[in-house]
Amino acid sequence: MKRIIYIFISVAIVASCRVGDPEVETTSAEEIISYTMDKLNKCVCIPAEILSASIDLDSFLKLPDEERSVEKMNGRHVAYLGEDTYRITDEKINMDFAVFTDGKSLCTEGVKWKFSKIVVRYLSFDYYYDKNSVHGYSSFSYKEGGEIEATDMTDKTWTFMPKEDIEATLQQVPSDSLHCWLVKARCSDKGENGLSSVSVTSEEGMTVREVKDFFSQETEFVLSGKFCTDIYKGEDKIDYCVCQFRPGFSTSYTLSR
Amino acid sequence: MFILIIASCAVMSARKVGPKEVEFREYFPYKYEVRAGWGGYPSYDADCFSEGMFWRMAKYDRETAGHGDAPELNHMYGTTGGADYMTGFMSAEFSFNFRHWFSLAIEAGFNGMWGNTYDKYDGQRIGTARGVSFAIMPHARIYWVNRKYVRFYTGFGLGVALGKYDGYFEVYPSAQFSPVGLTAGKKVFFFAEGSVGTAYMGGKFGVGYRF
Repeated sequence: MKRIIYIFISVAIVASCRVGDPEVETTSAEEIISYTMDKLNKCVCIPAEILSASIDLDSFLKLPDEERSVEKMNGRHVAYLGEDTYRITDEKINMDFAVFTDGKSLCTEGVKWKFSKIVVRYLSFDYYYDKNSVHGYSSFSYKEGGEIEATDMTDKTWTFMPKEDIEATLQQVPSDSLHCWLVKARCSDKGENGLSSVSVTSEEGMTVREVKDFFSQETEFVLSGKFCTDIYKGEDKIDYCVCQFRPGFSTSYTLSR
Repeated sequence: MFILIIASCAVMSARKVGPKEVEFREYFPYKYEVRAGWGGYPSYDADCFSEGMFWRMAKYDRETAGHGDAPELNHMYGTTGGADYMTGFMSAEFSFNFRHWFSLAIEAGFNGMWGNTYDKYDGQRIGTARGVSFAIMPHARIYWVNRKYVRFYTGFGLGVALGKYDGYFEVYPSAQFSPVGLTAGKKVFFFAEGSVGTAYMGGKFGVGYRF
């Protein structure tokens, strides 16, 4: 009897349940790439889309009523909300925002248009990039809105200024596509425990071209250039990601991991 | 419904004893029992703790959960866990033997949990997360075999549990159903039962004392 009790107590003491996967998950390359793509969208791609929509609206408003059509807005829809405020929706990428023009043309130097919270819900990452895309998030917004300023009309340059830590200048470049932008942008992010990141285009900038499919007439954006993200903990750089885009080629990534 | 069943059993037990009861009392004169046991797999805690439903999420993931798919620095470089460990459900109870076929017990038990935490950046261990879940349950047992040294029963319990893990605290209902259990012995006995419920899943074993 005593022996049985001792065995029982011994078994109870040494036995325990191990549950869960013992493998420790560390920060992966895919996470860093997804994070970098998120920043790319926020400070390069969506500003280009917003500028394209705004420039199209600016041209649209200059047309007489009988000439105004959806084609003139390249498939985007416009609604007048009153008091020089227009709502633009783009069903292709589920984009939705309102812009206050103050009755002025965005092609006049010094003019600022104010935009409200912009929400974009992508259907697919492939919409913007070549087919070798990384699965990422599907929606984001500039929560506080911001401004677009016609900075230099000699060089056809606008500045995109959401109320977040993003700076983007977009220069319209002549091309045979609908719109072609040379974007120079920078954004930063802060986390807890000294985490921060800085994301920038290369010094030469990135090119964002809005092109139309020959048959479906749907538009898509083609990128070229380099975009980098550096991640810091305190003063130490702990990770980086460099994305190189070349039209017709797979996107290449250079990572710290 | 549970209270109704308990009340019905208690009322029936209060009736005048029959000859079968008298015969049982001759070889089983014990009114009370105490037991200590170790339960099987604490599946409910394992699901919550290990899968991060709310225990794990208490510290690391809950802050970023629900933020959609957008990656965030805090989530990419926060803390993460590895293997988790549990003691299993350890309990003690006190029973009242009302009739040869019916007893009521009050059980209290706990399951200890712990696991290492790691820095997600480089996988280095940075600490240990600890928690415990504690349950208290009244149990009703229906005995369907009553021999001199062996008894078989079916039991069910319904009570309350509370759990604390890494600063997160939760109170939730606790329920346990044991379709088959047996005791072997007389004054000192061993018991084993198969059970499903929030406290544990599988077998439970232990010893008891009757008086």
